[in-house]
Amino acid sequence: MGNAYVIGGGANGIATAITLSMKGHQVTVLEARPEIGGRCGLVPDTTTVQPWAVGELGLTLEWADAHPTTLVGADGCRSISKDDPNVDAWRQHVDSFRDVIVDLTTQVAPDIRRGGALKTLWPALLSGMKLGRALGMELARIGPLSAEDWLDEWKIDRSTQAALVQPALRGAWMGPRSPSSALAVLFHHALSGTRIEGGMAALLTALQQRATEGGVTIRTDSPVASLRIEGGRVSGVVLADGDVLDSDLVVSTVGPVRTLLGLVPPQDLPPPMYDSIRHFRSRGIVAHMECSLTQPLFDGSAHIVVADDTAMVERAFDDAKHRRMPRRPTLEIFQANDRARILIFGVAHDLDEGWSQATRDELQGLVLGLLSAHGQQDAIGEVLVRTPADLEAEFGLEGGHLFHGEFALDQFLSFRPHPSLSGHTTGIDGLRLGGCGTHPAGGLTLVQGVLAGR
Amino acid sequence: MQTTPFHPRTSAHSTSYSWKEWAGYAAPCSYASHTEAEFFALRSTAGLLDVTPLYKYDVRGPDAGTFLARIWTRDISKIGVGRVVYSAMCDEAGHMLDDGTVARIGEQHYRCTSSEPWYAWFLQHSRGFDVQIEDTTDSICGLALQGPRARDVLKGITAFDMDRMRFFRIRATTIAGVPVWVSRTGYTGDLGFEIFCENTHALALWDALLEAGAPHGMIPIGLNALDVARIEAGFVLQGVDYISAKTCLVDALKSTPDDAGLGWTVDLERGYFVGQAAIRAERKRGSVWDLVGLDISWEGLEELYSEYQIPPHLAPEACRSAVPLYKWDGEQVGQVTSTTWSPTVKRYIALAQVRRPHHLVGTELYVEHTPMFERRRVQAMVVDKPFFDPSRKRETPAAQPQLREE
Amino acid sequence: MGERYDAIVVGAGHNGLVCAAYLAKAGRKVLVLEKRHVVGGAACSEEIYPGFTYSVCSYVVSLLRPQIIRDLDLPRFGLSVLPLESTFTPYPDGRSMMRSADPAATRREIAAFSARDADTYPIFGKAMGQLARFAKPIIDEKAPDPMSWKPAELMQLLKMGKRFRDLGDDLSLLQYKLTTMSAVDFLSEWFETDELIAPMACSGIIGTMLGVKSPGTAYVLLHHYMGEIDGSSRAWGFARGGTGAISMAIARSAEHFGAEIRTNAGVDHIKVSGGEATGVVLEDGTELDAKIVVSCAEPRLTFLGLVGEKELPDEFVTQLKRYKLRGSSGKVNLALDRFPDFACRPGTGPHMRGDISIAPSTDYLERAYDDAKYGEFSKKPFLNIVFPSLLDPDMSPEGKHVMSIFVQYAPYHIKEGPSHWPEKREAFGDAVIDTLAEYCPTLKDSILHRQVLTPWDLEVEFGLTEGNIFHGELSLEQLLFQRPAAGWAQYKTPIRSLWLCGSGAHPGGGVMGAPGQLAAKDILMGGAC
Repeated sequence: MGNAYVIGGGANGIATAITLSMKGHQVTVLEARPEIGGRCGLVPDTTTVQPWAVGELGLTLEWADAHPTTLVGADGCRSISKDDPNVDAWRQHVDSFRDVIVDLTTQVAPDIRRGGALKTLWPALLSGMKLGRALGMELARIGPLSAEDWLDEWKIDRSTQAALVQPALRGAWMGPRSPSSALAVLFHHALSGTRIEGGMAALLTALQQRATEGGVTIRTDSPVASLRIEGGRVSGVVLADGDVLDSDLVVSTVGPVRTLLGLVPPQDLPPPMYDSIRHFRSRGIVAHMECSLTQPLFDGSAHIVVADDTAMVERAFDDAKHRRMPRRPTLEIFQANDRARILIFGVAHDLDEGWSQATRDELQGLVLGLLSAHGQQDAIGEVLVRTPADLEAEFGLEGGHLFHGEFALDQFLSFRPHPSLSGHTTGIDGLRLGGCGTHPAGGLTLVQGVLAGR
Repeated sequence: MQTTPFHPRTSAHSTSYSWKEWAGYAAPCSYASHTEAEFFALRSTAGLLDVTPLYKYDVRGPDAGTFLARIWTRDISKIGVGRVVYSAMCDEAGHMLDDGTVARIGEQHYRCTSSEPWYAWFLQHSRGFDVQIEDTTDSICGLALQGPRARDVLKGITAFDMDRMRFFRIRATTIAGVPVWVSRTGYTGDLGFEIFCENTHALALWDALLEAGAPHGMIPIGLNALDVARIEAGFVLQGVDYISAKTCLVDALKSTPDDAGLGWTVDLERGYFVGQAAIRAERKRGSVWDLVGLDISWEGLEELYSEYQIPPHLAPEACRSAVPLYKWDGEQVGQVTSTTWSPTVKRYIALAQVRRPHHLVGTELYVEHTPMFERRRVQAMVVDKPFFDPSRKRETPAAQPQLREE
Repeated sequence: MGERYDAIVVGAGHNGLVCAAYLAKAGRKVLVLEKRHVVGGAACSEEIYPGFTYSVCSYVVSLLRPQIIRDLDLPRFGLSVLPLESTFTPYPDGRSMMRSADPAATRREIAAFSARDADTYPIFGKAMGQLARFAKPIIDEKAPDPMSWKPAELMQLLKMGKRFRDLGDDLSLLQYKLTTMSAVDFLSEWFETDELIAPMACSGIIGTMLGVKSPGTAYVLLHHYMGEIDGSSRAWGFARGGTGAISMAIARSAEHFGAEIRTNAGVDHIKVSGGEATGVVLEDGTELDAKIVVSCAEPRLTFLGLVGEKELPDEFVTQLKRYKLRGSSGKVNLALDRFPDFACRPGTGPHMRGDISIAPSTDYLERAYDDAKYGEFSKKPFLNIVFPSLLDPDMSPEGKHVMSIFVQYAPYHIKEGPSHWPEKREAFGDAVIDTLAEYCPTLKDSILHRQVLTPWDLEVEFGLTEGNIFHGELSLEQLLFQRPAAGWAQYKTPIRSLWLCGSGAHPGGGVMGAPGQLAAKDILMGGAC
């Protein structure tokens, strides 16, 4: 076997490299930035990492219960815990879908094209049958609902709802009142629940270690400019510095849009492939703020959502929808070891006035003002804000979207990124897609890393 | 409806009020109530036809040739400046979208004509090519001047020496001082030219041609006359002899170039072009259909009509109503799509889609014909196309074999 | 004790009348009870202002089932539907776009905005037409239960599945996208011009509490194309005499077949004994018995209002309480003493003889929705307008006109509470007139009379709970086998001998008559009466 290259040294990229090396390939990971991890460091949430994927990669990690979320609302801080009977009942309901949803992630998505590989349909059918009639009907009913409507049915108050809904919206172009946001919430919570001890850092270290053990070479500061395609098959990787690396197996984990529309030379992309991918939506509506802390934020918990209620989250989404500077964004905060990483929800990547130093400063001022209004100004040390434009420029995220493509009913499972790109293939021989832009959906699950390598 | 820039002249000329819609424009079917005179002029002197409604696209840029090679079945990147080719255009499944001409007007300037609009299609496929695409359908008008005297009409008034104008070439020149592009192309299978100019010059051009044409017996002609001529020439018409995959609802009714008798336009072995893989696969399997010429037996018709005690009653115009085509045992093997009495070769001729292997020249088939409300059948034979192919169509009086460009 | 009927139909909405007519045609003794003074429910015409006939609520018809028209011989009883040949959109900058049945003219109008979209428009229409062919049987058949093992259900599901597969990869993916995406996202994959996407998208939000950028609003686009291939009224039509004339024709047909129709006869409750419906009690106390009772009223009103929670299984009540009815529309009907020219394209030409949309951009439409999300009517509403008087001179005196204006959004749940709607009625009407006046400068001076209907009025007057014009949102989780509740989507209800035949049953709202006909079919096939 010749050299295989994995483009993108995020968690999924390393995971793919490990899987390929286990099959006997000689793998090199090409990462543009000086360190691995990609945007994983921005969203240090390991609760969606799937234990089965970790096991298959042979990583040794410790697991613990996910941190409870603290909600900072109009009436101060409170922890969303199991003590709330409505939340507990709802969580148990979500649990009844857990096995099936996790099952879905263990296989490539069913190939739903006519003449598609039948063998990919069976696992999905079997999983579906496991659900049974009642739960199956319930799933069909929940899917198109808005998160707010769904959680209203469970009599969860609208502020608590905000804590449950906000994390699920990181990767969607939706608000809590958007139809099918319930599905996003269901997926997020069904796929989360346990976290990795030591957090993202531990995960990345374990991945790197395992990769090295497997003979994988990781090259940082090696941005890829394009791919060389000859006769409908990939024949090499062209680095930004002009170097050409020969290869007939390349897995790109930098996102389907960036890969097919950015790295594949336009004249080598057959029009049907272009048609398949050009509408894939990745409108980022989250900005990022990283800061050092002089003291813990709020009650010091590791996961905090700052939002009064779902109406406030919806209004933040409205601002993004209308491409205007958010008036009152909602926040999702991860804090650990004197650092906080804050996801700012409601920030359009295609702001009408455009992103510049001025608008970045305006956003920063807004968020700091918001935290001050909650009395947190003393906790904030140094601040670094990344607008969606910055996220795109720095991390190669199309549309500034953290997960390479929106979660939506027509952009998940077999539809992600497109039915004709099923099984992580691209129609160009030897070129495969990994990363969050593929089945099953966004969120860091590591699943794509494993599946792309199989 | 829209009118072409020639409308003040064409409408004044019309005594029949017989117009039809062509690509959103009002186009004359015939100027007089009878088509005959117009058709005979076309074959004996010359006819002038307003072809402005053709969709036209100007493609410019360093990658114009390679871009066009990608979407047309002919390898456009190989044609030299001043040449015109006729080509098919297919979708990814190898089905005909349209047929038309592509002319290389300049080093990096091409002009395409087609029967359907393709601006969005061109744009979609131009990604990665350094080209600009302009829809010139409404900004450039055109006339077809066809017939044995066509060259004579132009000789006195055209700056370029028309005796040297070769078949399927194009050049920019002037006619009576009007800047035009003249190509030796046409839809009649005869000696003829197509003349394009900017809209502002339309009436000046028309008047100049009418004046120059009068002593030669040139008259304006309408679409009815053209239809007869093109069938005589064996030329297919999109929407009649094959249906564009763009508008066709049923896969089974779509045609590949081989199905439509245009397989010869496909330059298959070259870099990627849209439809290549599908056409290659079809050729391996063997295509299902062919588009053939039929000579419908006059004797057969006479015999049929004599049963009703009337002479054969044939429409004075070409007929586009498809009728079934059968083989000797009554099994339907195709459909006749365009039929006409050919005044030139004195036969009742047709174009038909036929299932292979019944497409071979010499095969005897049966065409449905309905005299007096009863469905009957008349013998027809598959013959070579074109039905009429005068040598004047290609001859160039002053052409020297060594000359490649003019 | 009154006479015993075979069937009592509660509510003379158009579906109830259709159901009654089919039952009567099959020889059953049918009584239809209507609380209002006219039949038709929300499909009614009334002379609110002397000399002017308003289609009070519903004002256009699209998918009135052709088989119903033929089976009930409706043209004989006065049905005459005129096609709405065009759809016109004016823009604030003075431009405008008319799309009509003439493809060449439509192409030119779109090309003024984008040549590429002009090319794409017919291709889009062709694809949608193919999907419409696939979807149409859904509205003419009852909804199959996907979790049932009954052979008939399985056959129907298999046929549906086969039709889906026959579409081929590209079209079946398109069908899936159509079902799941927002109208704007779906249309944006085809078109680049916002001025074209906006008026096309707005059909996706009629009668919903959703915005054009909300997932699940694309599939209603199909409605238009289904009409194109339907063989009754073309895509959109206007009934001579107003929409009420449709109901009148059905009523006359029903009476012709022997049905009895009583107006000013409101039902107080449905008599239930031992889990079975036995008849009704009117508001004036009269008791009427029947083998079956068929309710054309909205589901929640039917079950929680006319039957009572205690008679119903808990699970069903839960589903009913979850059933989303959030009305979002209002209506303004105007009598005008002259035609209010649109400044951008004056005159009463073909562009005024179809429907007119105030939907200048997708942002405008989305902002109208945002207002409603937080409990306010849209300050700058989406409007859909028809001038019935241009199509049917009998609707108004000569030279004068009727203007029928459908308005969104008018959320039933305004932040002050729905009962406060009457206080806001005039302000709501003013917002509509002010918006229109920007396009029609002479409008305000020509208004002779104005009728404003808020969702509250729709509920109080027409029995449309929460003012929802479709007896329940047409959102995915309350359609097909889930309308009005999972397991009860085939016209039967948990109460024996009680059936549902209105828009709260499959296939849903709009003046189709399909629920009424399919319910009657099920009733007769099952030998219920």
